[in-house]
Amino acid sequence: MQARRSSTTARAGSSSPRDSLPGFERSGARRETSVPRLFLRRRFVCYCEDQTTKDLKYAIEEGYDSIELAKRYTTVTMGPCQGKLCHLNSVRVYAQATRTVEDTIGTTTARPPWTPISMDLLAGRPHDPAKRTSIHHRHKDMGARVFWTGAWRRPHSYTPDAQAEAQRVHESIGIIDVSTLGKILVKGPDAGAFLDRLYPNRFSDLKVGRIRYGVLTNDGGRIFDDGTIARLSEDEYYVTTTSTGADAVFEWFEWWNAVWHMDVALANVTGAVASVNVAGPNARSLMEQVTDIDVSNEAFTYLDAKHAHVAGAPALILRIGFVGELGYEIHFPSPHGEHVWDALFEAGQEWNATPFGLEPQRILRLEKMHILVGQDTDGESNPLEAAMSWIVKLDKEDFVGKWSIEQVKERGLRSMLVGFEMPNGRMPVEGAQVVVDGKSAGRITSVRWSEQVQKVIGMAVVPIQLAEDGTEFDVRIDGALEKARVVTRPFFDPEGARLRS
Amino acid sequence: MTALDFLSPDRAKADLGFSPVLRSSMERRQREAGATFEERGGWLVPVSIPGEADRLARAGVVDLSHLGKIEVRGEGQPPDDSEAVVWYQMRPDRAIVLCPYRDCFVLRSSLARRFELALDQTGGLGVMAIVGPQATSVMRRLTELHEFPASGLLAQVTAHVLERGGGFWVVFPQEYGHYLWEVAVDAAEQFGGGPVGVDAVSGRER
Repeated sequence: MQARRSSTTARAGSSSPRDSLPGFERSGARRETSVPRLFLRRRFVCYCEDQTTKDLKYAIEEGYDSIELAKRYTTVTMGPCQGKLCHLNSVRVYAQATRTVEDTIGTTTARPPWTPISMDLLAGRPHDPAKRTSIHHRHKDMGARVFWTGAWRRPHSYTPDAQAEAQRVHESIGIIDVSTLGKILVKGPDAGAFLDRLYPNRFSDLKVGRIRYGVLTNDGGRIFDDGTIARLSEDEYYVTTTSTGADAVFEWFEWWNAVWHMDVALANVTGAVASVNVAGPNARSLMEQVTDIDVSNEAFTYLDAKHAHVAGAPALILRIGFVGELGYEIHFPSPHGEHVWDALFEAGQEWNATPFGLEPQRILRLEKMHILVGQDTDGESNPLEAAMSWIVKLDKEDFVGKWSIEQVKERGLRSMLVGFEMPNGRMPVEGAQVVVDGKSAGRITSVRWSEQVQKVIGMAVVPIQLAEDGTEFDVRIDGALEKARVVTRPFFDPEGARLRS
Repeated sequence: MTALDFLSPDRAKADLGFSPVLRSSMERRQREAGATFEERGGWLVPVSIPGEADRLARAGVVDLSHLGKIEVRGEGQPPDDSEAVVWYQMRPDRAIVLCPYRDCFVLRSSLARRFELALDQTGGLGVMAIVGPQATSVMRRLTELHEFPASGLLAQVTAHVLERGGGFWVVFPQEYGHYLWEVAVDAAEQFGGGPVGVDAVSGRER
């Protein structure tokens, strides 16, 4: 980059008369032909790096008089093709400019990938990989509108009315495919200690068969992913991550494992395991039909993890709920995806079980004020200012990002992620400005209309002094300022009674 | 069940005496091609596809996802030939083992005794074979890998490629199955090839 910048600067200030460049006359002569002038204005030597004959000739004029030096100065042959398309061009221009024989010039060093690529391959179909869950085609059969979420193809919703889909979860049973969640096995004598070092909260004291929420912070104490961690045995943990963060989190785990040399084995089982969440007040009744274990509230309490068979398939069932209703998240081998999905709907007919997509899920989670990493957080968000101080255990010896979070605490909180509602029912766009004293002081991170609470609800980052229930702040909507009111507890079922029912 | 049994589809048979049907991530594409399916050992296997003989004479794409797949970690005694497996050593301390699905349960137990970890990846990995006289040409359209076995990008997906009986076996994350089947068949069709059923190829993969 530096070389290219200096080359450009040199060209801009160069006093080299074009006519003095060897070979220029011949170029000029070509202009007399019938070739349109447009194509003669610039003659590209290197298509990847946008280098022209003029660039190369100026470099030679300035003393970069070997092909290797000229390469470093102009970046010719340094692009993705590594000279496949520009070696011959550059050597010919060089030979012409220096009046040397082409054969004596040689070529620049090509670096991998260096396998010759045939023209038909270059002209072939583009490779744009898409991930699909093992239940993907059932979603299509059921009329899902599928959209991209990262590399995954996922159902947005199954009907044009996402609000109605969300309401059916509140009223009876909704079923959602969450196979895209990242899933990582952490196994070994140091597994608990390893997770203690990675997450701001503790996992070594988690009881076998129990689940705890965790948020991952980087060295700078910034939130970069979240998920649940279930302890399967004394030395085995099952970690879930966000759908788009799965690969990055696994890489993060492997990197730290290499640094710390702990006695831990890691395995990414994201694709091996399909996951389905059954949620709603009748979810237990449905689960009783398809499992071989006691799913009563006494035997299978909130945040329990249990092994069972679901419709005959071996499964790990997590009693958690992202959508605020009684919920069971079933994890089972991917090749059983369609079988389990079909069995759940067959058993759920009595309660009119319906599928729901990501858009209804977003409404439901917002009602509970559950954050979406990447949506309600950004690269600057830390757990303290994301209203998650309860998860940060600063009394732990150490964890990734601890020092940085301590600095945030020491300097004092400046902003806070809060819920808000719009008293006048107007809906700001996500990303809209929070305005205080005429100045931008925050932003709306999420906003939706909720049929359940009959309000426009959302989450926003506001200055810390506004982060109290009932405080009002201005939001810019279509250029005008509208009042929003801070809410710090979930809009729906703030006590979590339905989740624990 | 033990802690990691929920990863193993064959636990259903071991625990309950029956197994719900297992489906490959490439099944829909094969159905669209008119494949005939049979249930074999719990898996729904595409045994034949109309017009496969002509395609196989050029370049055939075969779904072998019904194989058992085990990821082995640590150092230990690899299986001998009598255990009828394909062993791919990815790193000194990590290998992928492919075996007939009916043998997966026993082999996994045996490997678990010999190695630090033997993880059932049957559900996590897809396997596709590219066979026939034009198999190499098809591979050239999909990947820059040229010495096998190798791991690297195939149609922009990280995969392991093994050379088997004049053709290639591609082992990849199953969630890319639908996509990879589409691009592999598309590449094979350029040479007059295309999708082929499992019975059209011989060997232990059947």
